[in-house]
Parts: sequence; structure tokens; C-alpha cells
Amino acid sequence: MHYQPRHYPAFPTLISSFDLSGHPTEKTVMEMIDTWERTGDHALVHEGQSSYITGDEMFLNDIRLIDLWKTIQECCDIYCQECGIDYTLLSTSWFNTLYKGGSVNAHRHERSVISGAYYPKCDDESAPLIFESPLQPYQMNMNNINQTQYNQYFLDFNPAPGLLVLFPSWLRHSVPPNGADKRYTISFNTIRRADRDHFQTIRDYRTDPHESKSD
Amino acid sequence: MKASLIDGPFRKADYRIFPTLVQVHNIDCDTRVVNAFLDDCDMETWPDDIGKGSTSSRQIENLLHINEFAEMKTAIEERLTEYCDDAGFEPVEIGKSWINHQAQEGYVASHRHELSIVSGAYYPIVENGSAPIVFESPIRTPRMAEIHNKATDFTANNMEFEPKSGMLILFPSWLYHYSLPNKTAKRITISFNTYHKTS
Repeated sequence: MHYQPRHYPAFPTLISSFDLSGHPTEKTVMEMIDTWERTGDHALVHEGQSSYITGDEMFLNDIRLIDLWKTIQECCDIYCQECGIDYTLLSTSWFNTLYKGGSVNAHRHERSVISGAYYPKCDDESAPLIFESPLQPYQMNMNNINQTQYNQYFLDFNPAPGLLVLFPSWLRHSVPPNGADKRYTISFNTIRRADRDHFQTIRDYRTDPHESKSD
Repeated sequence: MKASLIDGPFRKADYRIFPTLVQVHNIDCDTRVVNAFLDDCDMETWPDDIGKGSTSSRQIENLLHINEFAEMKTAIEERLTEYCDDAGFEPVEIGKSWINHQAQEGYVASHRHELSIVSGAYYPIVENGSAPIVFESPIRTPRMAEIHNKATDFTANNMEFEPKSGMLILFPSWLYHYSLPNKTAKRITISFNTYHKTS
């Protein structure tokens, strides 16, 4: 029996991007970020500001952005369907503003299933989103002479206005120094949708009344 | 490396990033040399923690360097060159190589090939229905927040390849793999490791 040589690109990681340019909330998003008062420094963000201050931010839940929330949620559903994982639900969300030279340290999004970045404002000089290969620690023996999809340690995604990028929350990523004057990102996390009820029913009986006494 | 973004409006684009290259080839070699070796070699039984079967690895560390196996070695190294070219690695050559025999219920426990670059399994003689080689996903560990509900390339924890006589499978040596209990009387594997060419 003869086989043709076959390549199996095994165990890939799914990144999905969606073009949301022209979304009805585009202008509102920009106005909200430009006038948002509750921003501050964030340990991971350099030369920039973040609305991520307490860790439970709900920027996308603002009533003015509810159509954007719905669109992003639909994209998350498509990602989950494609990936073969349980549906998720948007949980926390915040925005980052990077100025010229601004960057974001490598990080991942613990306690989230899939995460995403939406770019309402950026240009050709804006810094890319860089994903790190989870295979890098294994690749200790080989000498690489060409960069291929099988040995690359990093993959850059250049932002574009209206671009939404979805990725598994465990995948480490960073932003190198930014070349644009301003680069806006709305970032978000998700929980497994079926777990939503668990969160609502979890109680702290030191402060909450027992269910039997709630009436 | 940069992801190629679509130029102009689009709805959705998917990227299957950071895959692991597993490559399958076919090599027709004279199996008489294998049978003759098996008849002559006093194969040793594996310890229980390695699996159930027998191997030549204790007696002969460089099976493919024996003259009788020269043709097979050359054919395998040609495919290794192709693998390295596709993966972006500096070329390799075969180092240690040995032969394994798994009879009924024989298996190999999960392992990887430390100190090697690309490893491979060549199946000169396998009966139809022999146990597959199973590769384990290297990204299973970080996927603790997901509940899988559908088998896709992205949720796969394992990837199985059913061996056929003449099949050569190449993979990065760091990739954990094992074989399930065999259901046939004969599953012969020639396994090997590699190192970068020194000249």
C-alpha cells in the first residue's frame, strides 16, 4: 500500500478575527473612551491608561454599548462552536489606551475561557498583538534555520480599526512599543455560560441570608 | 512571523496557530532483512513501566547503521530531510535506532524521546488492525477553563495513527506518545532518534 506523504498540523490553537468596522456603536465607543474618568495606571500597561482598576470592570455592559456587547457575544458563540467548547458569556471588560511608545507586558487571562481584543481606534503605526507559542518550552533541542508555522515562537496580529480578535484565555500575549499616537483596545473575558447560574446561587452566609429565610 | 490579515472588508477569518508537525510517509523496503534480524536477535522483554513487548534496544543501539539496513536508513533519512525542511529545522541524521515487537496485548506506555530532535516509527511489518500510535496534545495542560463538547482539531487531546506495513511516521521528539494494547499477533516497529548533522 502506498501513501502520499501527508502533513498533519496537529493540535493547533484557534484564533478567530472578525471585521466589525462600521459597527453602529463605533462613534459612541470613541466618545466614551475619550471622556472616561475612571482610568488609571496598570502594572502591565506602560505609557498608557487602563480602565481596568478593580478587576470587575463591565465597560461593555454600559447601556450605550449594548449592541456592541451583543455583536461580540455572537462572535464568541461562533468561536465556541468552531472550537468545540461550551458556550461562553461575556464577563468583565475594560479598555486600554496606549500612547506612542506604550506597551503591554506578556500576560494571560486567568479565570476566563476565551478572551478578546476589539480595536476601535488604531492605525498603521499601531503596535501588533503578539501571541506566544505554547510549544516554546518543548523546543529545546533543535536548531531552527527557517521560520515556519511549526517552529515560530511568536505570531503578530496587526490591529485594524474595527478588528475583533478572539483567543483562548490561557494563551500568553503582549503588545510591543506602540508607534501610533493613540491605540485603543477594548479587552474582555468570558465565563462558561452554563456556570452563570452557579455564580448567582453562590452565597456568603456570613453576610447573606439563607435562602429559606429570604421571604 | 506575521499573521496574514485579509485586505479589505471581511466577516470572519480563522487562524490555526502553533500546530505540531506530524508527517506520514510510505517506504517500501525489503522486509526479509527485518525478518532475518528478528530470527537472529535475542530480543529482551520491556520492564513493566515501559510496556509489554520486546525490543532490540538493549543489544543493538544503532540498528539502522547495520549494513543490511542501509537502504532503509537512506530512505528514512530522505524523509527526515523533508520533515526538517518543512518544519524549519537544520537537517538531522539518525542516531539511535532499535526494533520493537508487540504481540497480542503488547503496548508501550506514554513517553517522549529526550535528547533527540525528530523521532520516528517505521512499520515494516504490521498485521492489519494493529494498535495505533497515539500522540498526546501538548496544549492539554493549559486548557483547564474549557469544557469540550465536540471533537475538533482544537479540542483533541489525542491523535491516533493506525500503522500499516510500510508506514513511516515522523514527529518532534518532545511529543508524548504511546501505543494502545495490540490486537494482532505482529506489530513490528523500527524506532529512531536523531541529532543535527555535525558536518
